[in-house]
Amino acid sequence: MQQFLNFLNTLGRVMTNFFYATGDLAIFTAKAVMACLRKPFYGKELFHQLVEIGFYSLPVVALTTLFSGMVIAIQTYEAVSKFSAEGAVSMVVLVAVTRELAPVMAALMVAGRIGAAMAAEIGTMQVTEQIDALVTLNTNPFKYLIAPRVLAGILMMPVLVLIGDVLGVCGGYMVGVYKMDFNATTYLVNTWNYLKAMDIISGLVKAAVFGFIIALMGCYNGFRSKGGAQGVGQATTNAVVSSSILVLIFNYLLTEAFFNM
Amino acid sequence: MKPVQIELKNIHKAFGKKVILDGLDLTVHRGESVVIIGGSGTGKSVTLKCILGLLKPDKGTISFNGQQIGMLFQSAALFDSLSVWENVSFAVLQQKGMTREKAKKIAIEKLAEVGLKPEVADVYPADLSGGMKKRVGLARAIATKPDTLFFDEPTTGLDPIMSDVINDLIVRSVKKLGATALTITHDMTSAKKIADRIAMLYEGKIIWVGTVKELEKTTNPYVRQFVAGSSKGPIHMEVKAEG
Repeated sequence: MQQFLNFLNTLGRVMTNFFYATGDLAIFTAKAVMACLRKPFYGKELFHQLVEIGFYSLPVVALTTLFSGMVIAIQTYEAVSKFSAEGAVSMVVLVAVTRELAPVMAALMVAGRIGAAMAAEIGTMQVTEQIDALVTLNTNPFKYLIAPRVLAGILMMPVLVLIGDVLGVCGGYMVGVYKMDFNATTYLVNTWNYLKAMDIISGLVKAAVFGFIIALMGCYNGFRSKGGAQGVGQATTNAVVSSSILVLIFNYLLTEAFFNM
Repeated sequence: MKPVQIELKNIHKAFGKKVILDGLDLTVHRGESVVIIGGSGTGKSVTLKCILGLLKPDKGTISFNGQQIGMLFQSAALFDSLSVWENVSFAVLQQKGMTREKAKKIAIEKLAEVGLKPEVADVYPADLSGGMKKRVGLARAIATKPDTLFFDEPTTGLDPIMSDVINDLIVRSVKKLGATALTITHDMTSAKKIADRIAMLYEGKIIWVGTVKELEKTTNPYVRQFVAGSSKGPIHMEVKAEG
């Protein structure tokens, strides 16, 4: 009996903590969205974040999508050559890169790079009272710190994914033409013929949602960090893990919404 | 009697089961400098955060009749990503029609007021010593000419000479602005130098209030023990036995 009561006690505590955390994140999200929509806007901060997310994440996103496109071309060729359907390689590469690989791989890379950096920076500001200092200087931390990061995430992720789309397709082209001896013109024509606006649009919408999630989770975990260096380290880990998981969950939900409804 | 600038009535604050403030009352009049003293963990910082609106009390009322505040944090809390002048002029730069050139000029003037040379303006906080950080923090606090200044442990972590320099700067800045000042500290030398009135916080309540002269003559055993820095007396520090 006592063991059952202990179990119920633990279950109750876990559930209470879960609902508390979910509610806290919901309130934080609402405040972040309101901060993005209302004046004042900090243009300099926004520009800084646009450069940080867009420009400095470009090499890692470019390499990831380029090699992903190359791998998909090899794997597709291996699978479809058994049915003499080699012509499908360009189509599969195009669909896989634009719908899934570019948005998801770019999001996971940016989560590791930018989500962690945001959590560490804001977390350090939190534990060293810099966020309290902002308040005493008549500055809303949501407007000054959170809104520029969230807006930059939403705006720059689609740009990164668009570049990733091009490079991923280029990766497939390089493998197809130089390794598998496909005709270059035929490969490009096939790619162009299979290109659908919906594939690109769905990828860009996903990218914007992922950008919002990554920036939000980075800021949230940083904002809630406490206890010095250990707390900041924990916040950084939580930011990367939670944003990566949410990216994968929302990827499924958005794929269902775009292609299965 | 001067008008009331800050008034705290029956303030209660607890974190979980731990009661920090337990019916705190305090009044600060316009233009006076009040110092709250008390041991570590007695709720001094919580009191200050409640006044600043950074924490919400569980019960009680706080009335603040000032227009503009300035705050010097214990760790100075300078923004790492901004240069010294940008830190000092942070609030000034938010004002309408303010150019960066004008804001930098104001920052250099404020840095001079706290004894720092113009060369410091372009340096980043990571390159400053603890004493310099406190001075920059003070320059930032006074940059908008506030009518109320708050100081959180202004001399903690500084050597005695630098502590005296900071105390002098605080007294001079408060007088120059004609501001109301509320300081929390456990440094008695600092408290005696800065304060018009001293309030002692113990177990979540203000247990004694008086002038510096009254502090020296008081028979209150808690205050006497704290001022003497003695381990013997009614205040017991929780010390966990090892082993």
